[in-house]
Amino acid sequence: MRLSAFSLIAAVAIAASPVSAQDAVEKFYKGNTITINVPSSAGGTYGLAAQLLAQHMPKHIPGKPNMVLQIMPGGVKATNYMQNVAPQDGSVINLLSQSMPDLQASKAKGVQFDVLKFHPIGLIAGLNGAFVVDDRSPAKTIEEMKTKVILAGTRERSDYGFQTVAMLNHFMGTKVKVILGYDGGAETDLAMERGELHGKLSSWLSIKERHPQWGRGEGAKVVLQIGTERDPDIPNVPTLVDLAQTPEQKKIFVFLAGNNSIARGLTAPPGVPADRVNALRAAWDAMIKEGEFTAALAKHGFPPNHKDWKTYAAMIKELAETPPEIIALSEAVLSKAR
Amino acid sequence: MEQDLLGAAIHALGILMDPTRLLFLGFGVICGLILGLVPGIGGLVGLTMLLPFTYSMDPYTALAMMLGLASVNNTGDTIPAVLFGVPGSAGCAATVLDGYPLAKQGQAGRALGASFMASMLGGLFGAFLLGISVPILRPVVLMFGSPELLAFCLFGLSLAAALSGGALFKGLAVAAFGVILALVGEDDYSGTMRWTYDTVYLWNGLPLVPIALGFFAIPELVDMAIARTPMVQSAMMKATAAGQWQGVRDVFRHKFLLLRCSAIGTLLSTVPGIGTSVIDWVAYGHAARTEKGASETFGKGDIRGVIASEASNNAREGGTLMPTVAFGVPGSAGMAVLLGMFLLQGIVPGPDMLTKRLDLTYAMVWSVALANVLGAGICFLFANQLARIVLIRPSILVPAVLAVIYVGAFQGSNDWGDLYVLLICGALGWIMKRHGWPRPPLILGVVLGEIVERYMFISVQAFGVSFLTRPIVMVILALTLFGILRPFFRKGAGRPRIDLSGLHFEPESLKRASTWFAAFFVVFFGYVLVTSYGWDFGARIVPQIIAIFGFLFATLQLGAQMIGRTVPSGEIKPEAARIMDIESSFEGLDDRTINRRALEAFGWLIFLLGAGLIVGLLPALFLFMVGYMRFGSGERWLPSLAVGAGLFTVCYMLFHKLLHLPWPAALLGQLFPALRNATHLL
Repeated sequence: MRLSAFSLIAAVAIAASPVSAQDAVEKFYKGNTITINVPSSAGGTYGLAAQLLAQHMPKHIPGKPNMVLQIMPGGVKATNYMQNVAPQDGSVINLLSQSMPDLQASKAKGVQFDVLKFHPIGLIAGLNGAFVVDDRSPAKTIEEMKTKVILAGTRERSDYGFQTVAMLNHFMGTKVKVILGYDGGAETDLAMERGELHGKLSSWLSIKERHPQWGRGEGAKVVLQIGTERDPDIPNVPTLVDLAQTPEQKKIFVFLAGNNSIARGLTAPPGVPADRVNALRAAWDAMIKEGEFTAALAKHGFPPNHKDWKTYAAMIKELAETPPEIIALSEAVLSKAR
Repeated sequence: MEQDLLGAAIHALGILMDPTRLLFLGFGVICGLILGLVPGIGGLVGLTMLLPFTYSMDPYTALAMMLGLASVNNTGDTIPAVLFGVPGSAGCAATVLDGYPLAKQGQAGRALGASFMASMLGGLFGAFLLGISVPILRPVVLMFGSPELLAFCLFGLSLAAALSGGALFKGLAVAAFGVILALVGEDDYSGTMRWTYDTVYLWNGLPLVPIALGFFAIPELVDMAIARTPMVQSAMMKATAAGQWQGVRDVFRHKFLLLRCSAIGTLLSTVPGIGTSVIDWVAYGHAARTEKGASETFGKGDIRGVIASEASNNAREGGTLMPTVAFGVPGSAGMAVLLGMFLLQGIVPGPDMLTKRLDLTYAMVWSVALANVLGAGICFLFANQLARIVLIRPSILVPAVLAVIYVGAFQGSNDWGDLYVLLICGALGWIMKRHGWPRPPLILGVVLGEIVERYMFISVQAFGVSFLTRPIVMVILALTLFGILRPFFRKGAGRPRIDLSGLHFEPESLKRASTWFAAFFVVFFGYVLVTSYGWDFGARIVPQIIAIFGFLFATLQLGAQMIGRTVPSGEIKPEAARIMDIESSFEGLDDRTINRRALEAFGWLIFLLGAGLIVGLLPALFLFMVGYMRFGSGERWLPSLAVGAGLFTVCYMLFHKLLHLPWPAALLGQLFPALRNATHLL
């Protein structure tokens, strides 16, 4: 008798669970605020993507919460914070910095997170990198760069603006000297304009947003792009993978391009309850279906390559589980790069 | 062209005069003033908070509100600086030096009046300069490459000498100490971990906010806790309204100083990375070097010190907007938020802003100008009430302000490490203040150290040593050298004479804390030299050069303190050098009492940190407040609990509900994650 009563209650609970889960999520988010952790300064495309989310996503989440940004520059720091400090109840979610799976695979110093434990919500966009060279540069093509030294700039050695160029120099024999110390993309742009640098590698989106004329080949031109596919804006510019001459090169170039394919994505930290994660994923799908968010992305130049959570999760997993021999090869090249 | 500019300026003013836009500008200004009052919480937090409101606004309204907030942050931050010696943001630490002594003399009204007026006029100057320089903005910014910016920073660093007052070796050793602090962390060039001791927190370097609050805010509050009497007796308090007018008149009396410091503020802030936290010191150092009699009165309550600092830090806004508007290079973290808003609104900084979108550029100029007028006006209105804060008894004031400082310091890098840095710098700052070591050069070193290294590496990598031959670099470096050497070429200075007669070891000096502090620096720089020996060349070159000089200055100072001179009359010549900093004075208290009370105060600070680690920072603020008032100051239970609960509520509403500040993870939250999820505080 006791057992059957328990079974009855359980059966009722199971039957009612979708409704009660929805109610519970709505109750939690109603009048609440969701904070989006942004692992970069507010002025770039991470900040822009987060602002667009804050504008378009809340109305699709049960309870219609507010959404605000939390600026926390530094990918490792922000991801560590999200896993170890931030509340795990769905009130704080984050844009996952694109190189985190790669850093985890490389067992980089300071990594105190496991990206595979995060809950992907959706990929906003994969963004190709672009190597842009000023018209005043002594070398204006990849071929010319093999014989003439040009100066490019970025902030530090862990930037892909340094690491990718180091690979290019090693495998393709180019002579690009990367000057470190510039505090962000806008500073390297300015250094190019004043003739201090000849080129730079950064996301194609930020280049075309800030310097539409460079995209048209006025004053500077794009000689190479980094990504798994060519960006429709610059279909005639080869990707790094296109330039690979050996299977080994191809492997490592595909690995490098992987980071770009998950450039701006939304995740929830590991401990968020399943019903809230599901609600956020459903809100993502509804937002994409509605079309306003994607239209806003297009208006700001994001390529239309957003992905649902399952595809995004698979992309993160592939990067985080990069074979050790590729990691070892990449580290061997970087350790020699100066 | 002039016609176009004028037309665009008038058109933009018309746009901004729309009542709704003015209302939002006013809202931004009020937010900026309030956030300025809270130490450590500055424009960045406020701008992020306001950002979502801009989504549904047109670009002009959004700009008006955001710039309203950003422009007056350095007006509001003066109030805590003057009233209790705690800089409301890192950008007004120099105001403390003279503003606070003036308040202690009962002249808070005068100091505030001068601050507000200098802030407003400085802000207007910056806006005006931005407005008229539109046609030449891009060519001018393009003229200044990394070598020129390096020269600017070296000029700033050279002012450490001017900020040392009569204690040159102390000041220079302290500045070198500051530079070394700035170089802690992962080196960008070689990836070398410099003095990080396998601590993740140190990899990104030491953040400025807890350092500035530690060196400037904690010592004042500890001193207040030691003195245990209100800073000003009500009888000493001069009529604030009359005082404010006197302050306003002071500003007009020193109009050329105001102009010079405003110009310094605007021009220096065009250099990305220099930021607000050093501009006030450069202007203060300039005033100290050029104003008549400054070496005698600066640091003791000279209104010119207040004017210099305040004019420069408000003039900054116009300057930081120059690279932002013309090239999209954010001059500060706050400007980066503004750029984020630009992007969302579809505004692309660059040539278009100076041609096709002049209306927007001038809307910014007017927003900065109007915000400064409005901000100063509001401050003048409320100064009378605010100035009475100095009459509150320390048993309430000290713990309340300390509690807020902890929250502010935590904004440095959102890590418990920020609070350790706050405490260590607080202890060092207190010792320095008490024993006559100037603190201002340290902040110059901290802020400029990292930038100097960065621009130097870029310059050398891009140009080799030939960067030194660029004309602007040569001019700035010549001016810097002239400033350093000028005291030696003054009329009548003659050749320095070296007289070794009558020198002898002074055994008494070993009993002085200052001697041991000099010895600490000698050992510190020795340690720096030894530990950096095996590093990559790029990682060690700057710290080693700085450490060699630091070692030299500290050794000279140690020698000067340990060696006495017997003068003909047979007396020992006392150490009489005056430093350019606030000096501690505790009338009627002997050294033992002072040291005991200081230990008690630091004990409470450690208690707050320890309690925070266990129960979370916000609940710990309540425990600390009640504990300090009840057991540290002997207040009764009821007022202790009432004030503690009041402070907790204000902090909860402001920091947690409104600003959504992240809180550090506490032990309780780690043990019981459900508790963290339920409260969001642990």
